[in-house]
Amino acid sequence: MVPPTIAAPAIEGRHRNGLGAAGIPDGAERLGWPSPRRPSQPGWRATCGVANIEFAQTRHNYADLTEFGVESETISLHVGHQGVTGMHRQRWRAIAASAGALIVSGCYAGVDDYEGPQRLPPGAADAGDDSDGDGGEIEGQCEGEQGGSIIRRMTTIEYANTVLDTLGVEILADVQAILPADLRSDGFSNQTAGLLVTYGHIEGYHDLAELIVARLPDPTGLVDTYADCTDFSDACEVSLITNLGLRVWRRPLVAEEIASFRPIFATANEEGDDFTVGAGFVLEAMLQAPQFIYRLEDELPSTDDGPEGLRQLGDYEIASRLSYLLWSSSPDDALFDAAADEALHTTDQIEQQVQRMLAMPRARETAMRYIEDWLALEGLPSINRDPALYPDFDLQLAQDMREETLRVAEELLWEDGAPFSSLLTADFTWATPELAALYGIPNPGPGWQRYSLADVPHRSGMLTHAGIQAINGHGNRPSIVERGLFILGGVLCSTVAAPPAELDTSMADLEEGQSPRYYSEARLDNVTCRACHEQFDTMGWAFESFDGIGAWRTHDELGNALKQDGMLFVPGSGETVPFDTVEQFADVIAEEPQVETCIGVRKPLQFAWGRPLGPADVCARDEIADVAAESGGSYRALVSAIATHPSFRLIRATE
Amino acid sequence: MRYRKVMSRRTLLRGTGTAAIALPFLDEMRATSVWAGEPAPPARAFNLFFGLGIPRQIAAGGLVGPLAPLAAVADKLAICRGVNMYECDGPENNHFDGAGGTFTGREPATVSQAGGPSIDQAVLGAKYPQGPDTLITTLMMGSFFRRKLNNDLSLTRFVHCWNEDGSPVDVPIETPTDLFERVFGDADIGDGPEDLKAKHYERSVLDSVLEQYQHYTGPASPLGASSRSRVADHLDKVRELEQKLFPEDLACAVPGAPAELPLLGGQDVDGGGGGPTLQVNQWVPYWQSMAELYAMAVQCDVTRFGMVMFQSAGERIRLQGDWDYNGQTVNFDDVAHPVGNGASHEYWHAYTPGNAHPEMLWHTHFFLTQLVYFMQLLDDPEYADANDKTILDNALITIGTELGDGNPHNLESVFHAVSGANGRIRTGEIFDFDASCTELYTTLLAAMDIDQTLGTPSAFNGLLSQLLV
Repeated sequence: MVPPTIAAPAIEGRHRNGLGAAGIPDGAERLGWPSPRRPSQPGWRATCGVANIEFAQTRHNYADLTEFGVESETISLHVGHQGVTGMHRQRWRAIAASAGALIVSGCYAGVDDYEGPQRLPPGAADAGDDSDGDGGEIEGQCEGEQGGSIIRRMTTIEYANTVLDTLGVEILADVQAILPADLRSDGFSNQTAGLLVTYGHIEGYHDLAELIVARLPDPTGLVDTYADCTDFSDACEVSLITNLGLRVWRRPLVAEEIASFRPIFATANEEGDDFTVGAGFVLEAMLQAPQFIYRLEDELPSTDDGPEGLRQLGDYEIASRLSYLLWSSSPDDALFDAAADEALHTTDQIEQQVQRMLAMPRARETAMRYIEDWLALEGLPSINRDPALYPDFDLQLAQDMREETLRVAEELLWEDGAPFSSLLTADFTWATPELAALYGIPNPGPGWQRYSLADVPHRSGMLTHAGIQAINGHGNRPSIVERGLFILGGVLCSTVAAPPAELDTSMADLEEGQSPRYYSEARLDNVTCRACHEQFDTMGWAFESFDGIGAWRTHDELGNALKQDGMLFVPGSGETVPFDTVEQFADVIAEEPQVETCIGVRKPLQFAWGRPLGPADVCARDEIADVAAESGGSYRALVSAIATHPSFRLIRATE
Repeated sequence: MRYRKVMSRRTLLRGTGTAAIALPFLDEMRATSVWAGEPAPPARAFNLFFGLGIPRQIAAGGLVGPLAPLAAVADKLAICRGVNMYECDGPENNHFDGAGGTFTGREPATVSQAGGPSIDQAVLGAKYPQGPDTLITTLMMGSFFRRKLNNDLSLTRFVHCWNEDGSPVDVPIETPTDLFERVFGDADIGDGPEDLKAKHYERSVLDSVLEQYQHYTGPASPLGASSRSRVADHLDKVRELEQKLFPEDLACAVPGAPAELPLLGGQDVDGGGGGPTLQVNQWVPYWQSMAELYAMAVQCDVTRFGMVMFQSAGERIRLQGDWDYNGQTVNFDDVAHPVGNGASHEYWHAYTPGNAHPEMLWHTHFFLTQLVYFMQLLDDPEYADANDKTILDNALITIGTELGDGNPHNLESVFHAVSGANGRIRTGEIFDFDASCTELYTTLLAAMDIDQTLGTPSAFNGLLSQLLV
C-alpha cells in the first residue's frame, strides 16, 4: 500500500472565496452539479471507500468547464494514491476537482432554497404556478402549505393516540404489533411518501376496529354519550351516527354518510340484538373508513376566499391540523367547540388555542417525537453489535442511549425553552450507571442522574451522545462518512448526490498504520472522491475516536492513533472553519446560522407538514422562521409560528 | 353483548406462532386447469427482477456459462440485448435509477417513487379498467435484503409494480408464511348459527365501509387525482379483504401452510446494508417455497399481475456452500474471498471484460437458476390454459434488472427477456437491439394491443418490430 502523498488540506482559519483550502474553484464548489446524461465511460474505476484506490485512466473533453475558469483542453487524469503528480499539482487539482465532479461524480450540493436536489417526492411543494419561488401573497404574506395535495394516512402513533383520545381505548401495543411499521422516507417516518397502505394495513385496520370496540371501557357508554335514545328509530340511529361520527371522523357527517350506516342498525334489529350492539358495529365501520384512517381535507377548488388555486380550510379542518400538529392526535372538546362556533379563523383565535394546547402533555410528547424521528433514535434498540467487540452493549444500554438524548432535549427545548442549536452545546447530560460508565463518569449514582459534562472529556452536546454516534456508526465499524453525512444532512440540511455508481463504497479493512482517517484523507487526495467527500468527511473526522457504540478511545483495535481535528465545510458559502477537538467542533457548528435554520425550522416544518419542503415553501418557511426567532426560537415559538402563519389555513386546490 | 371474533389468520399467526406443514404443495392441488373451457386465456403480466445485472460482454456469449440456466426456457423467451435505459438516468446512482426505470422506462421521481406506471400495471389498467375478477389484483413477492439508503427505505431497490402516478402498488412479500397467508389465508367464520349471524354483521359493516371508499374514488370525490389514486388502491385491497371474509370456492384445493423456515427475509436481515451471509442450501428451498406459492396463486387465478424478484437492486450477499455450475461443483465462500467479503455486489464492481471473478459468474448462474425455477413452474402443462398453452406461454412476463455493465454500473445494454404473451412475441431468439427500454416496453404493450407509449416519449423512435409476431 502506497500512502497518500497529499496530506489533509492545511487548516488555517476560515477561508472564503477564491481557491478554498482544498484548492477547488468556488464556482465548482457552489454549483448544483447535474448528473451527466450519458453512457458511462468504459474503463472508469474509482474506489472512494476502499483500501485499493485503483489507478484509473480516462479521457474527457473539458470544453464545458470554461465557466469555472478551467481551460478547454483534452487531458488525461491519472487518479490514484499518488494523486496527481507533477509541477502543476495545484492547477491539476482545480481542474480535476471540477472535471471529476462534473463528469464523474455529478456531486450535487443542495442548500438554502429547499431541501433536496432536482426531484421532489409526492406532496412536496413544487413551484407550481409560482415558479419564482416567492410564493403568492395573502394579506401581505406568502403562501405556504400548499404543496400538491395528497392525503396523509395516520401514522401508527397518530392512530393509537386518536383512538385513545376519542374512545378511551389504549391500543398502542396492538397497533404496533398488528399494523406494518411506517416506512421511513425523506428522513422521517411520518412523510406522505412513506405512508403507504399495504394489504397488511387493511387486515390490521379490520382487526383493530374489532379490538377497539371490544375494549370500549363501557359499551353502553357509547350509546349513553352519543345517542339521544336507544330504540331502532330514525331519531335514535341518526343521533348516534351524527354525534359519534363527528368525533371519530373529526367533522360533521353529511346526510349520505349518515344514511350509509343505517343498514347496520337494521342488521342488529333483524338479528334480535339491541341498539347498543348495533352502535358497536357502526363504530367498527367508522374506524375502517377513509374519513378516520386518513387526514382528509377537501382538495377541490372552491369559491371561498383566498388567492387563485388556494382554498381556505374550514374550521373542522383547521381543528384537525392543530391537533395533529401539536398532539399527533384528534381534536379535543375545546377544539370541536371552537370549530362549531367558527372560531378558528383568525390569528388570535389560533394563537389562543396553541397556547392552551401547548400546556397539555400530548404537546410535549409530540415535541419529543420530532426529536426521536429526526435523529432516528427509534432505530437504536434494533442495532446489532458484535458482542465480542462490544461486550457491554445490550438492548438496555441502547434504550438508555435513546432516552438520554430525549431527556436532554426535553430539558432544553421544553423545560427551558432554549433554541434548538443549544442541543449541540449542552454542558450536561442524563445517564444511567451503565451509560455513565461508558462515558467514564466516576462514581455514578443509581438510576437516571443528571451530570455536568464540564469535567467529562470529549462530551459536549448532543452530537457526542453515544446514541447519536452508534446510530450513525455503520455497524461494528465507526464510519467517518456516515457520521459526516449525518452532520451534512441532519444538522446542516444540505445534500450531496448519492455516490456515482462507478464508486465502490464498501469500507476498507483496517490495517496497522491505516486508520479510518487515513482512508478518508486518501479520498480527499483523490480528485474524483474529493468533490463530494470534502463536504462531509472533514466533519466526520471529529468523531473518529468514538467507536461503534459511541465510547471514546484514543486508538483503534489495530493500535492506530485516532484524531479529532477537522474542518467544517459550510454548505453553500465556500467557507471552511477548522477545529481541533470534538468539543470545538460542537461549538463551531452550533454558531452556524444555518444550523438553527435547519434543525430549528426546516426539519420541524418537514415533520409538521409531512413532506419535504419545496421551492414554493421558501417564503413561508422564512416568515415562520422570522416569527419564531423573534419569540426566542424555542419549540413553542416555532409551533406557534407555524400554526398562526396564513399557510396553515390554506390548501392548494387540485383537480 | 356479543362481538364476534373474525380475526384474520395473519393476526392469529402473529399471536400464536406459525404451524408448520410440509412442502411441496403442487401435488395437493386440483389437477385440472383453472381455465379449462375458457375461450381465451386472460391477460396476465408479471415483472421478474434480479439485481446487479449481467454485463453485456457476458450476455454476448449466449445462453452458456453463467447464462446457461436460461437455456431451459429459451424457446419460451425472447432474449433482448442492447436495450439501453439512458432515459431512466437521474441524480441517484443506477441501483436506484435503473431499478426504478426497469419496467417503467422513466427516471424515478425519488428513490421511493417511480416516474410512471410499470408495464404490468399498464396492462392491468388497459385490460381490466374495473379491475380483474381475482382475489388479489397485484401480487408482489421477492427474496431480498438490500433496501435502505442511509437510514431511509428506498423503495426503488425492491418495488417493481408502480401505479400510474409512480407510487408503489405495495411492497413485496418476503416470507413463505406471509405469502401463503396472502394467497390462501381466509377469515371465513364458519357456518354455524352464530357464525351466520357474525357474517351478517360483517357484511353489513363492510358494505358501509366500501361505500365510503367508493365515494372518495367516485365522481363526487372531494379529492384531487393523486389522493383519489391512493384511496383507490386502498379500496382495491379492501375488496380483497371482502373476498377473504366471504370466500367463494377456490379453483384449487388449498395447500398446507409452508414449513417455518429460518428467517431469510425481512428488515432485520438487512444487516445495516452490509449484506447477510447466506447458505445455499437454506436460501434455495426458501426461495423455492415462495416461487411455488406464487406459481400456485397464478395457476389458481388468485392473481394475474405482479412482480417476482430474486435479489434487490444493489444486493449484497455472501453465499456459502456448494453449487452445481453446469455440471461442475463449485463452492461459494464469499466470506473468505478478498472481493466477496465485501459481498457479491463487489464482484460486479471488480469486473472488467474478459476478466470476471469466477464467483461473479457463479452468482449470475445462481440467481438465473432461481428465476428459471419459477418460470418452469408456470410452464407446467398440467395447468395449461384452454388454448393448451402454458401460463408461461400466455402471460406477458418481462425480465429485467437495474444495470448494464457491472463495473461502471451504467444503464447501457441492460439485460431483458420477455415471454411470448400468447404468441404475440417472437420467442426462441436472441435479439441484439440498439434501442431504448421505452421502445421495448412500448413494443410489449403494442403486442398486447395497447396503444400507449410506456416510458419516456423522447426516447421512443418506433416499435421493435422484430419482436412482434
